[in-house]
Amino acid sequence: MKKVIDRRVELGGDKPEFYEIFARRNSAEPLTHIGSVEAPNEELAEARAWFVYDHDNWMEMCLVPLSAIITITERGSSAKVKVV
Amino acid sequence: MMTNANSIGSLSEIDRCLRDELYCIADAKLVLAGWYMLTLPNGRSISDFTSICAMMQGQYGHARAIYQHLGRFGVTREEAEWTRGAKDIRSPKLLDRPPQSWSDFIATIFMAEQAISTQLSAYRTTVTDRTLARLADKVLKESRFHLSYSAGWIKALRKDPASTVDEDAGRRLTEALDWWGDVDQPDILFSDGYRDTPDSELRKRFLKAVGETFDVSAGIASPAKSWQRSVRRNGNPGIPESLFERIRFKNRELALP
Repeated sequence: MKKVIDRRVELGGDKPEFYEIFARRNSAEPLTHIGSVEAPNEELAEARAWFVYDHDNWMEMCLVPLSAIITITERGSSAKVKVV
Repeated sequence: MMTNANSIGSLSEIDRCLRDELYCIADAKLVLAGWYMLTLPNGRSISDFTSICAMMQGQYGHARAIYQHLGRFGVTREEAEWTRGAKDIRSPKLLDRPPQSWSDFIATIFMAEQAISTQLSAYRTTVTDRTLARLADKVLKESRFHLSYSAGWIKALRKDPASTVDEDAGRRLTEALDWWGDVDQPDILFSDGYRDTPDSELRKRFLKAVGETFDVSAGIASPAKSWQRSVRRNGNPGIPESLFERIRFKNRELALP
């Protein structure tokens, strides 16, 4: 039987969303965009972000749903900050 | 106060109880790490694969750190990691039965992570063993993300009307409660100040935490009479041979520096 890959199901849920990740190593550094994860909810986004971007010992890490970003120069379209 | 015993035979009763409970916690982490290892290829995406891999590494690291701490009771690394067989492993009954599906896997790791963290949380404030308190605190901080992972998946799975995650959790809850099978037995780790919470309260704390996600009313079984505190199980001690064969460390030369 041919395997059918349903990307939405594979990612866990009906509406996976991009979450942008910001982090800093110490209080002297600014919060910097370090990447993105795709997840169906905040809990899974938090876990995936923590485990995927573990190359530094982060003092602070935050998530922002891509949909929450208000664009100014690109008014009317969603932000394009995804990097992986 | 704790004694630095060089042989198991000379341990006081309290040291023997603490050694046994730490063995139970570390072995639970060892077997759970084995579960993550075996399930790793089923990760649903690259980030999922990475997450399971990280949780596996985390659990192995925690287990080995606790095994190292057992050195205070005369337990050597050789004994903890290499010379024990299936009958000597003290992991919870919850982890004996292999995952039946993705949702059963998620329900089980949720119960296991919650149970282990609940038990370990009672050591964070112990003044009788400050090294253990710091170790417990570090392990708990790292385990927070393990719980987020399973909680997120449970939420995602429930979006599918055909999901069986609640039924899976119900079955696993009964097995998980075996860890607190007879909380009315004397609890000297609490009465002597090694734990800040008695087993009876830890069971309630576990049920409260699980109850925030699942219906727990059906899983509260009465304790069986054969429960032994030293292995935190009803019935015979040890794990199935088939499970042990999959999760045991096999090549010593690869594991030791």
